[in-house]
Amino acid sequence: MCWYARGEAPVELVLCSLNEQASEEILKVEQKYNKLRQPFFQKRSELIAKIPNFWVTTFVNHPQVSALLGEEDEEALHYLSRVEVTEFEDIKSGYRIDFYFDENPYFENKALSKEFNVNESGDPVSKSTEIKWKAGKDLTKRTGQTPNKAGKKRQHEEPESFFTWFTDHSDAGADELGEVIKDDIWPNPLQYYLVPDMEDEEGDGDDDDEEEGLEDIDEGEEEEGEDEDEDGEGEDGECELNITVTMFADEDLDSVSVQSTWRKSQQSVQESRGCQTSTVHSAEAEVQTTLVTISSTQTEPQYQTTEQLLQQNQDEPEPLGLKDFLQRVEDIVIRELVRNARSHAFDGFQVNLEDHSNLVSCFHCLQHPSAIEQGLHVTSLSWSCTGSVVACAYGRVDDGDWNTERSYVCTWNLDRRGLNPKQADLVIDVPTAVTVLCFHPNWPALIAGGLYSGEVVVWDTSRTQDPVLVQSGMSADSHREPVYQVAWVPLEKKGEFGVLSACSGGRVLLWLVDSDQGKLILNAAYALVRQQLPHSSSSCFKARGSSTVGVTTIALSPWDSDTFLVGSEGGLLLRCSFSSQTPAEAPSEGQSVTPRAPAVFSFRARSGPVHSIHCSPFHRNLFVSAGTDGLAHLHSLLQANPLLSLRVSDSYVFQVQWSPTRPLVFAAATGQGEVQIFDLGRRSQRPAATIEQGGVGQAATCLAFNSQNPHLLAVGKMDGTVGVWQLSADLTEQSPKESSQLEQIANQVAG
Amino acid sequence: MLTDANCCFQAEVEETLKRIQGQKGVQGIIIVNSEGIPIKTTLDNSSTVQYAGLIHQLVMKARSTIRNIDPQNDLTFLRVRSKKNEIMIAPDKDYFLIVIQNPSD
Repeated sequence: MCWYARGEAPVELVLCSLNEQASEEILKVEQKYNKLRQPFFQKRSELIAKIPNFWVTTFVNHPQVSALLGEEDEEALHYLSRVEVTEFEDIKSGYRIDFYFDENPYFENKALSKEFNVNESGDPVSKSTEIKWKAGKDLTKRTGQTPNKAGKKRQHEEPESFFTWFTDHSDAGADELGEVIKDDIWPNPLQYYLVPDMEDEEGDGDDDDEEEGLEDIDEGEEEEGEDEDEDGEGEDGECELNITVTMFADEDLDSVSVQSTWRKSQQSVQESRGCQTSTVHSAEAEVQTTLVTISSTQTEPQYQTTEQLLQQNQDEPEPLGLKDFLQRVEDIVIRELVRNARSHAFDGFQVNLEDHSNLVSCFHCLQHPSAIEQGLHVTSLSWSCTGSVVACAYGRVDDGDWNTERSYVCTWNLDRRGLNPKQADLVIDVPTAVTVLCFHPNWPALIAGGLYSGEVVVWDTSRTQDPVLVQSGMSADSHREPVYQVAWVPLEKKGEFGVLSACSGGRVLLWLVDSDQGKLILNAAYALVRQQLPHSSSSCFKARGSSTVGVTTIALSPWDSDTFLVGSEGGLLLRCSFSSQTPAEAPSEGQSVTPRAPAVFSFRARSGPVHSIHCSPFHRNLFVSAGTDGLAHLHSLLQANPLLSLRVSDSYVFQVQWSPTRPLVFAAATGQGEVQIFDLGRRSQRPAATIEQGGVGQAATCLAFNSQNPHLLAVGKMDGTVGVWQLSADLTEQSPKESSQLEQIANQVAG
Repeated sequence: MLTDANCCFQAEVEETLKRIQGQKGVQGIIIVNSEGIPIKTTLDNSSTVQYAGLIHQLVMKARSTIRNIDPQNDLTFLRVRSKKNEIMIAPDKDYFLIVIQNPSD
């Protein structure tokens, strides 16, 4: 011990002396507690002896020890029943480890032990019991028990057996296994018995931390820094020595307390992690188109694709492999075709894919209150090309005099949610009675109408201000008589339409729409003069009265753009041609375009005015006509006489129209207020269905099928109401044979 | 020579098509290549183009269905029966043959 003047104490020397002091005192404490522990170690050993395979499990679970064990070692160690570690009285001089074995097939010994001492010169030595191996069971002489680590020459390279430790006395001072058993396993073997391997590297450090109660102090080899607080070195040189003496808490086999701390730390070792992506932003958007523009889709694609087809045909004379392909498939295809033609598999097989209603029911009853107040009749109905808007024209059907009453054109959009049957979506005020209406086939906002005054007007319902787009005005060109029919006619330029109007003055005029000037410009005029009508052999009329033919109705043929049919007040049915060049012999009235005589062929005349003609959309030669004689006549364009005449009602028939979906069905609106629907496929000549709307006695003046929604049929009545009816499935769904039946009917020769 | 050979080929192809067309109830035949473009047809242009485009998609879908169920399996023939007629499709690597038949005719 060196004492220096105050303020100049060399720290290392002081520490050195203090360490020596500490060691000695610690040693004494160790000895004391070793003595105290002995009986309890005894008790523990007795208890452990009752646990089978305790020590082998412990050794196997210990990372360092298990590395030394080969397979057969483990086998041998199963017979290890007790282990004792005894430190010598003065601790410094060494310790002994005893292994007690049961009867086992490997060696004779009941006990093996290894002892570490310090010899006279102070060097550490070790000795151990000689193992009496049984024949062929010497595990130290086995090779390949544990795999040799190639190329490493560290001291703790794995020997080939655990039991070589008993014979290896080369390095007693640094005997790791002994130290491990003495310091690590012996104080608390349970931690290894109860748990599988922990990491090699962490094993040592963690264990040291865990054992709060059992920290042995090595004999001078290491200094446990944790145990010693550093010197509180004050300025005045006084040294405080603080030794925290840990209490050895192994008084009872209260393994639970040890267990719990270990478990806690193990829990702390375990971390559960989760991860989550940041919130995924999603947005939904819906888009609905409200405008339909059809013209852009009608024209080009068809041409393009057909050109494509044609081009392909001209490209190569013969595409490669086509012949082989056909050879391959021809047989199988022909076989299937033949089999199919003979098969009865599908006879009578009907599939109902859609809801079939068998009822004819009224959806809506639309009214316009002001019109009803005025007692106006519905004179004409038309559906828009989209099938959702129905327009009706109010006027009078029975007036022979000049009518100057104001009237209306009303439209209802049936697809809108807020449909109010008593209130029209759009009401157009018209100065005179409207006699006829027609929606444009492509633009859902345009309506052409003919007025009682002879004017032809086109309304544009999309305009908010003044719906009148164009009108014919009162000029030399326009009609003088009430217009009874307007129709949209496709012009030569694809996509453009002109308005065809017919009046009772015998004139049929074709107008062009000039929306810039707001005028209809006369394009062609046709005048029907009795003298110029073709005589048909079976017609027997005499020219009487005026020479003009009062046109009451026109029908356009969807098959032949040149043909149109005309029905007259006198009961005449005429087939006319747009392209006729014969000038009409009508008195000139100062028109800009000379009228032509269009009539080409006349059918058998009726006995009363013909109110309605309609060409069949399914057969190019068929049309149906109806008039005041109460009959519906089915004509072929090629024959003068009707093919079929059906009695519709006892009074007038105001309108007749073919169904857009069923080739054999047409509907007729009668003066008695009923709408009779006929199905030519039925044997009976009675109507397939009858629609009665409202009061009897109020004539049904007009009707219109909805080609977009073929279930719907609109019926207008004299009492000013419009009924929208839903037809049953059998009236709207085509059956397979209908086209051929229609063909058969058309090919009949009329009697 | 080449033209003669082509004529031969063409004649054979035409003959095969005639044989198929002559079966009972056949309304039309279309041959479509692997891209869905019709190369031979007995129907009018617009119908042909429509059939070719739509049936090409149908065949692709049917084929992928079969192969998804069992990758070792493959489509050999497809028949679509409708109210009015029956469409038969024989698929192949490069072409397929569409025959429209009305069996009750």
